[in-house]
Amino acid sequence: MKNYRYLEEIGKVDEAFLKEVFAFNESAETKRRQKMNKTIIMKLTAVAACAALAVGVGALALSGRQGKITSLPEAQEDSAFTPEISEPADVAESEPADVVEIEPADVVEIEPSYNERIANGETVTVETYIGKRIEHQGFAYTLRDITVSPTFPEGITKADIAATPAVIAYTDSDSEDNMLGFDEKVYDYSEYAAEHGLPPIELEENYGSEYPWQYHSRALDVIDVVDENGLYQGPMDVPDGAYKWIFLEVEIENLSDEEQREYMADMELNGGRWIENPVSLAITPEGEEIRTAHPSFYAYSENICYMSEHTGEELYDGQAEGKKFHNLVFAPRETKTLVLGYCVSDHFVYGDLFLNLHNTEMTYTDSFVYLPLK
Amino acid sequence: MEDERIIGLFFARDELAISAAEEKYGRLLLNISKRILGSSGDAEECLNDALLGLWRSIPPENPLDLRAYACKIIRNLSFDRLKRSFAKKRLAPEVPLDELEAVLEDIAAGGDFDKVDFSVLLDSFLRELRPESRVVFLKRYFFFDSEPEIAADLGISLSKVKSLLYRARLKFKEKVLKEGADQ
Repeated sequence: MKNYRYLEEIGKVDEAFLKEVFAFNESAETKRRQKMNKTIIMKLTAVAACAALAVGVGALALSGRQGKITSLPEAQEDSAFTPEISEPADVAESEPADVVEIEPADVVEIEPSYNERIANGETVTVETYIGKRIEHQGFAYTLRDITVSPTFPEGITKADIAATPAVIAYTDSDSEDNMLGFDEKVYDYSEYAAEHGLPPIELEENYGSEYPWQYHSRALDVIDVVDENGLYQGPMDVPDGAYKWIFLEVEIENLSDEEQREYMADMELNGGRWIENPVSLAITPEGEEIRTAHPSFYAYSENICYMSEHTGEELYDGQAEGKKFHNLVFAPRETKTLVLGYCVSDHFVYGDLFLNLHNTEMTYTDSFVYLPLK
Repeated sequence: MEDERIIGLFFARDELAISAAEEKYGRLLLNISKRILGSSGDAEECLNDALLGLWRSIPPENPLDLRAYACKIIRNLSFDRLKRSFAKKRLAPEVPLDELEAVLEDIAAGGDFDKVDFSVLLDSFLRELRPESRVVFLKRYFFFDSEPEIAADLGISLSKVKSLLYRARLKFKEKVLKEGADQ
């Protein structure tokens, strides 16, 4: 006979914990309803506008036949044509985006000479960053190395990069993960999009606000630029040859061997995989693998696992079908050092620097980092 | 009807309490039972037993949260029925046993667990989890929601649900093994 003891014993849980579950459910339901309300209001507004327009046009047509322009008919003010629509509080009274102003001291400059050297095809080490220490949630990280290369990844063309979901740190404004010692901004995407005239992005039902930074799939040939204060300066055309890659090597000081193993197990559980001949890896929606020479590293990305398991139909939000991407994270197998690779423009680096690792509970961080390259 | 009023009806021995409780929480309770038993008919019977259980236990019990209290009752009744049905070899439960199988096997081999106060251990384990992990764990192993359901309910990705459950199971196992070894 099967042993149900432990499942059964879970029934002895303190009722306070069950109340917490109910509260979570209700909170999630409220959010769903608010989202639905927004959609309904938008549709109602459109219907009301059409109705009002139709009435107006009808009135003009009528008045034209009568040979004079009349005032708008009574019907326009009739509630049947212009329903009174009250917006929920979160639409009408939404708070401005919670923008975290960065301190000038946090902006780490890359000397112009580096850019020149990089432009000449040289890979340079950016000493300024080295030794930068970041503490968060019990972990401490130290940047051990930063290099910038004009050529990585091998085999990826500018066209590939241009099709990469691009740019920008949008995170939940109430994120707890705004921890990095670098300059950082925190956006709420809907606010940001409204402010800058960006198109709204439809989110799939199952991928809610957990992945706000993934809502963006703008091509890199037009990137958003932030100034030295991390403030948005608008889109900018990136000239040919402007792309570089930056590698951040990060040592995790207090990650135990066991935690490291757990982390790796998590990655595998999520579809990440060890690579026989370790190289960096990206998989396109078409299933094509892009490998680049970067020995001894484990390549993993949550995005990669989705792409490798499915066709382009099940992409994450913002990773529009047909677009290639390379959201690369590199981690060595044996040590506690991560190397993360990101595409950069002349102006800044972007990336979710520590992705899952810093969080022992595997709640994915929604932090992003800007490293303006001036 | 507010929970307090329903409980008041139970205390007043007013049978309206039963119908009110069924109207408010019957569907939830039925779902829990159905997930454990895999049978609508058996779940219906369990629901009736659970409502009767409420009637018999309130008073003297005066639950702080009627919904949680009712959920625990129907869960217990459903497992009782599940065990009886297994004895008769006629049931294929839908509970997520596979996920906990490895944990159970390790636990069975790792110590004397009959002496472990499981409710204390469980509360301690849950308290150590972060709220999101705790909710996901309970939705899966108390309410037996499926992983996609949990992801949809909480607005998080399926992979995240799997990760949270995976880690919670590991911690659960460690906790139980440690407690068992300490006995």
